[in-house]
Amino acid sequence: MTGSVKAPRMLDVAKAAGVSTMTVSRALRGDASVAAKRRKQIMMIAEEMGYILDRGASQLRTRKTGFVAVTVPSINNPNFADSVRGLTGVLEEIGLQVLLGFTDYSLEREEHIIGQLLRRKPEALVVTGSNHTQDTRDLLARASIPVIATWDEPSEPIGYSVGFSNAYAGSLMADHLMETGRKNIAFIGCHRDTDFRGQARARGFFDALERKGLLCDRYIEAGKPPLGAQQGAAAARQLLAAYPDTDAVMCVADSVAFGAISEFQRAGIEVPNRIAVAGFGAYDIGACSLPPITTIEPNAEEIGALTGKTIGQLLNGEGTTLLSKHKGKNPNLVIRASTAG
Amino acid sequence: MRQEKKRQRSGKSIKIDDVAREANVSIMTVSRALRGVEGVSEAKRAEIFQIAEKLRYQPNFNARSLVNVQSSLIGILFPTLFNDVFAEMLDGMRPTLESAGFTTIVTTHEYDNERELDWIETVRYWRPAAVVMTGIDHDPKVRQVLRRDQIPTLELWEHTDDPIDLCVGIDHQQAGVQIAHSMIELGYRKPAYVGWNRGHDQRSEKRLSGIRAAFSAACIGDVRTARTGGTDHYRAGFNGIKRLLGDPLNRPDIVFCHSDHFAFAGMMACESMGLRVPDDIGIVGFNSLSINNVLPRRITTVETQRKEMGTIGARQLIARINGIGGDLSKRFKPKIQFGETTRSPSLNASQ
Repeated sequence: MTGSVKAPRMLDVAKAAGVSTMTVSRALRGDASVAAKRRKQIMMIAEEMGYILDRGASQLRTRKTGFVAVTVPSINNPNFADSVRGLTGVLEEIGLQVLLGFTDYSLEREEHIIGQLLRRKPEALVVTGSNHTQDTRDLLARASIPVIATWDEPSEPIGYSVGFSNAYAGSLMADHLMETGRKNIAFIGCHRDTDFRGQARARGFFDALERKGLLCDRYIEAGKPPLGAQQGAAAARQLLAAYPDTDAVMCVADSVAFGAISEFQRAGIEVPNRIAVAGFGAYDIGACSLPPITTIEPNAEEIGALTGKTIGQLLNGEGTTLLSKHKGKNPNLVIRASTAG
Repeated sequence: MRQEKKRQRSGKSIKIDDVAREANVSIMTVSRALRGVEGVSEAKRAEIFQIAEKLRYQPNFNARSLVNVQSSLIGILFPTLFNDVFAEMLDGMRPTLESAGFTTIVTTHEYDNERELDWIETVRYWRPAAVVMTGIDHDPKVRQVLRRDQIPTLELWEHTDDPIDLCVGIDHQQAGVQIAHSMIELGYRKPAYVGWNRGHDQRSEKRLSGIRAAFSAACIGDVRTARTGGTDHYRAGFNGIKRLLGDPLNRPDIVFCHSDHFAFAGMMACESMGLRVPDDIGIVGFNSLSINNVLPRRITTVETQRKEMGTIGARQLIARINGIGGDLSKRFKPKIQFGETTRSPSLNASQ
C-alpha cells in the first residue's frame, strides 16, 4: 500500500510556493540567484510536502555523482578505519561522500570492485597500496578521474600517492630493538604474497638487522590477513617452539602483538625482561594493555585527511600547482614498556 | 545436445547443472537454495552454497526478474568501522551475497542520521538491488523513500515488529533485561553502567534501559552511569570505570559495559587501582568479541551471533530481491556467557 503513495514532484512544490520549477531547483541546489529568504521559504514548503530532490536528475544534468570510491583491504583494521574517518571528514566539507569496497587483500577482488565502482562514475578513486593486477593498472591509467594510492610510497605511482615507506617503518623498529641490546630478533607477519605493506615492513626490518650483522631468518607466518590477537597468540607459541632463544619480536600489527604478549604471559615468559614485543599501527588496545605496547604511529587519520585535501585540489583544477605527486609524513616510533628495559 | 557439448568444451563457465550434479540434488533445489526460497533445509542450503562457491558458480542475472536487472549492487550502511561487530556482520553477509552475484559497497554514517539520509539519496540513484542498514532508528524520510522506491531493505542487528521491509537481529532492550537478571541472581545489588555519551548509540541506550528496568523490578536502586565521547573503546572503558570507582564508599559491585573492549579496559583500570575482579567488583561486557578468546581471564559477556545474523540476513534479503513476499524477519536470541569476571553461577547456587 505504502508503495503506491505518489511522491510529490518538483512541479507540486513550485505550485505550492507560487514560483517556477526552475526557481525551486535553483533554491534547493543553493544557487545564489535565489534570495535567501525566498530560498528558506521554498525549502520549508519542500520539507513539509516531503519532497526529496531527485539527485539522479540533477546528476544527469551537472554530470556529478558526488561520491569518491575507496578500496580498502579489510574492514577489521583500526588504521584503515582511522584513515577513512580522516578522508570522510575532509570530503564531507566539500560535499562528497565516501563509498567503500573491501578487497580482502585479494588483487583479483580489487580488480572486480574497481571495475564496478568506476562504472558508477565516482569523482575520484582512492586505492590502498600500489600492488595491482595488470588489468587494474590499465583501468586506473585509463580512468579520467584523480586516482590516489594510499598507505604506500610507490616507486611507480599511477596517479598520486599519500603515505609512507613501510620498509622504513620496519627499519625504525629493528633499530630500536637493537639499541636496547636485543640480539635474537624475530618478526611475526602474514603469509607471504598477501599483505604487501606488511611484507614491506618485514623486509625493511630484516634489512636493518642484516646491516648490523644479525640473523634475519626468524619469520613466523601467522596466517592470512587480517591477523588478530588469536593468530598472534598462536604465532607466539610457534616462535617459542622454533626459536626458544628469541629475545625480541616485532609483530605486523598491535593486535597481533597483544595476542603474543597474552600468550607469553600465560607461558610464564616475562615481557619485556625475557622477550621484548613490539607492534605496528598505534592501535587503541596497545596503550591500555599491560605492559603497554611499543609501536609505530602511522598517522592514519592524517593519511586520510591529506588524501581528501589532495582530491579537493585536483577537482578544483589545482593539480598543476601541486609540488609533488606524493604526500606523506614519516611514521614515528612510540616507545612503551613492552620493549623498554 | 550438440550445443550443450559445444558449450562445455568452449567455455569453462559453470552452469547450475554442474552445481546440482555436485550437490546431488535437482536444479530446482539449487535454484531455490541460492535464491533463498523456502523449501530447502538450512543444512542442505549451506552445503549447496559451499559447492556453488567452490565451483565459482555465478548465477545468470538475465534470468532474474526484470526489476532487478538494473543493478547488482547492494549498498550497506554501518555506523562506523571502529567496531568488530560490524566487521563480523559484513563477514557473514558478503560470501552469501557475492556467491549470488551481488557486489557490496559500504559507507559509514558515524551515528549521524542526516548522513544516512544523504547516503540513501546517492545509492537509490544507482537502483541498487537492495540496501542494508544498521538498526531500526532512522529519519522518517528513509522509510518513506525506500518504501516508495520499493527497494528491498534489510535492517540488521536489531529486531522490531515494524521494519521498513525486513529485519534480522536481537531486541537490545530485552538483552539488557536478560543480562541484568542473571547478575541479580548472582547476588549483585549495586549496578553501574559504562558507555558512550547519550544520543550516540541507540542500541546501547536500549540495553541500558533494559538493565534499569530489571533492577528496578527487583526493587534495587538506580543504575549509576559513566559516559564518554570519542572513538577509543579502551580509553573510554578505562576512564569510565575509574570514575565510577572514585568514591570508595559508593562503589558499585557490578559494572555493565558497552562492549567487551570497554570491559577489558575496565579490568585494567580496576587492577591499576588495586581492586580484584571478581572478588571486589564484577565486570560484564557485551557481544563476546574476539579479544575474549585470548584473555587469560574470560570476560562474562553476551554472545550475539553477529556473523550468523549477517548470513541469515543476506539470505533473507536475497529471497526478497527474488520476489518472495511476506514476513522474512528473524529474531535472534542473545546468550549469556559466564566468564571469570563475575561470581561463579555454580558457586552461588551451592551457597
